Amino acid sequence: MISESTSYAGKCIRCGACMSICPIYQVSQDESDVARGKMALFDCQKDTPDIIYDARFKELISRCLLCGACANSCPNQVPTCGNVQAMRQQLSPSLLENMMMTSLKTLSKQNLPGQVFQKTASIFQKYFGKKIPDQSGMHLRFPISSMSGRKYTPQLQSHAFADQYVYNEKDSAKKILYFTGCGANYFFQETASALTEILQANHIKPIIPKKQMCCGLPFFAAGDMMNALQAARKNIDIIKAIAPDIILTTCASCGAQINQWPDLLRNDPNYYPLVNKIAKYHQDATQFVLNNCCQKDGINTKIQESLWYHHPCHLRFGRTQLPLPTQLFKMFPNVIVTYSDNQCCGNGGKFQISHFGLSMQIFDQRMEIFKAKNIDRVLTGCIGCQMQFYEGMLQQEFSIPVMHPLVWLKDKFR
Amino acid sequence: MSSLNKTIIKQLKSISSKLLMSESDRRCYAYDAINLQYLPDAIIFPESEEEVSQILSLANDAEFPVIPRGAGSGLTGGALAVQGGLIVALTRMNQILNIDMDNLIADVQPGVVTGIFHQRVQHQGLFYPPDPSSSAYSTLGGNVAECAGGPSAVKYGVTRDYVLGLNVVIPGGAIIHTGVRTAKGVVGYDLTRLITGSEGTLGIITQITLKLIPYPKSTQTMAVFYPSMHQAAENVSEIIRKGLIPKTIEYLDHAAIACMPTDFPGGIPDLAKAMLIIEVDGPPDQVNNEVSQLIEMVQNFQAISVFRSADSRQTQSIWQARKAISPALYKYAPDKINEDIVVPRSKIPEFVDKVDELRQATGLTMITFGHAGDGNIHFTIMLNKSDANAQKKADIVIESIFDYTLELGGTLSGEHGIGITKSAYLEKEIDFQTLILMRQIKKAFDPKGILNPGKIFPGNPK
Repeated sequence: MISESTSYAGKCIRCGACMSICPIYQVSQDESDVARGKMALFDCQKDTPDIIYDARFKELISRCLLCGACANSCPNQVPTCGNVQAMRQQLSPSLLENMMMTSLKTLSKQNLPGQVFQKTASIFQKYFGKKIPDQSGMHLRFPISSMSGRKYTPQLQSHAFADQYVYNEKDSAKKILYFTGCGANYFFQETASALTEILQANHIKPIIPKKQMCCGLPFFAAGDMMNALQAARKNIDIIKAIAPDIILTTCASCGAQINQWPDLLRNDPNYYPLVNKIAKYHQDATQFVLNNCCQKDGINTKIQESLWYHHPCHLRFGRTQLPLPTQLFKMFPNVIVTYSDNQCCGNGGKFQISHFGLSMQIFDQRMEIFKAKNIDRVLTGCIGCQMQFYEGMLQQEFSIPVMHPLVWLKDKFR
Repeated sequence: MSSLNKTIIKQLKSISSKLLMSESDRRCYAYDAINLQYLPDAIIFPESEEEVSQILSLANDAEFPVIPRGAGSGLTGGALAVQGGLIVALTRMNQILNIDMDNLIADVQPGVVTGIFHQRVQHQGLFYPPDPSSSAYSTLGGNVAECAGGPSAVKYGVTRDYVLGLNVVIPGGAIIHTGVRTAKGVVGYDLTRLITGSEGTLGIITQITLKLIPYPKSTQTMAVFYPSMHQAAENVSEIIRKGLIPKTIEYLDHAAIACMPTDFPGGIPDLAKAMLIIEVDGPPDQVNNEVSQLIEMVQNFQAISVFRSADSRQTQSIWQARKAISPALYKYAPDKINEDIVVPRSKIPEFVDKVDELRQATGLTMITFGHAGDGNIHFTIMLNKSDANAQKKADIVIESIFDYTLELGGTLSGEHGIGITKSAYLEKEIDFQTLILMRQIKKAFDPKGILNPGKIFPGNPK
């Protein structure tokens, strides 16, 4: 019997346009991976409410990068990311368990003796537990990210960047807050150094709050709203006390999450008016540097290099959408840039943890072009993408430095 | 009740490494782009012709329905499991096997995405003209099965005109080879043309030999606005009468224009009641010459304004706006009835008058847009189907639109096919004796009626 589907105006009409851009669908060709399939799954709850308890349903809901490509190309503006996140929220914590279980299952396939895994895991846990605050979403990545066939583990630094950074209040006219995010604070500190050095060379001294927390994106993406909200509120309290004019991020994903806070807190009268302002103060650090700190005569523009620039999804879609930083590379006539701007790298935060093989398949699509070109460096402004490039290349026995565009730019300042 | 018992499932699993049976997966293969829902019993993903053959052999023996599916982007329900059964998803057979530069042909598997194929051949200086609006995601197999068209049909024809030969697995599992690899060929019946557009009811296409042509050296695009639909339609006839055959002449009526983005290149004049998108391609000198002639011609027809695209970015914006119309129509009402009738292009003005008449008589929201160059009109009614009165009126309107189309010498579907949504009207166009022969052909291919049952032919799909 024909049953009319009930989703219409502003909702999915099953046209299929999302199939042309979904990074997962490009490698799996599974209808359930694409936004249209996800919408069909959400719709079927109406006549089969129990379907959400089905393990396969949970698995399918976990198979989304939340990259936003589908929403961006949807002729009917279906907010798929929001819908998937809401479903994950409904399924959380069982989904979280499910995603972790998938990771553990992957591990068990590696034929690692259980004890070895447990021991290593506990050492990692203990080690990271001391260094990274309990509330950081990075715990969702480690220790599992360093197992199950993975070859890359970012190096944890002995002290948080924010703890080592000295700020003198009289330094700057405008109050600029640098939200490092966990990545630049604990692992890729060269990114934080690069930004602060470039800013200081331009007589700008940013404030880096020592007590800043994880932006909450890993929790939010997993549907764990309690922790996502807690992270947002604590950060807002800290930011409020500083009352900055501008908030900079070097990680596109942290930037996107800051812009997500108003949605998260829309029903919280204590935070909503403030969080809206905070989101408006946010700017991507690379863009800020390009607009404010790039006097051409202060930069050595003569270098020769071949670069691969990857535009993170969190700079391609949604509120934090920015054009490619062609302005940056135009300053360097002898630098050849290949833009990998039209495809997600396949990281998707926890997605890479729970679906490692699939994540690598998505990454591998660019390897052919990558191998054909003589690339000296990979530049990308997102911690997740950066780790994905390291991992993806190592899997193919490639080793090319991957860095934030500002780390690359810093050395060019005279 | 599932038509697949445990023994069949076991056999299917031995044929293909991937068989999906969970309710969650079946829900994701229960629809196509018409947004109706029929749950299949399972979905299988063959990776070779041999696997397809084994599936159809088993299906014929065990007598369960088999529904071939490409991207599921069809608009008449061709890929829906209306009687349950097994969906054969051909998306994993997605290899471009060969592009022969000397003979300008290509061999492809059915799951190749049309847009990807466009890019691949263009990269080699070649052109595969059929360009349905779904080309970014629809598959070549689906395009052949439905005989997809697109805006460039006015100059370049439709999918059928580029299919030289096919490998097809028919019910029972036999693999047949139709057509040729040459420009000419008259040996035996033309089964290639029979299977092209047969909507997956005769066999499952497993390989396609396509004709290619050299990629045109240059293209120019214009958007022209008119004070009335009638003037636009008359202008189309005049353009063709003068011997100019642009690559595309798309038209949009006032209701479709209202759905276009406000940042449309060159803007949308307030008084615009109709619009043409005209694209010309060919050698640069010829294109410039034709564009000048066209501009003069549309100005003589009192066009309100002509916008000539200055670069590829503007051209892309024009086409994006055109492609976005179909889904954007949902701003008018929650439900859509979309028919892709074709009338001889000289009759477009009369057809447009008829739509105006019906619009006034019923008060229903009606939109017409489409491929004016070849007379293929996407006639759309937006309504709320839960409003019984509106639905009743719409049924009457569709009936009279179809009757009028045939009266003008047209046809009920230009490129979407019949599927399940138009089968009730088939007898309006196909006479009794012809329909009997068509049913006999179906029976010759598929004596047990296992392949895509409930499609094309009139009768309850259940």
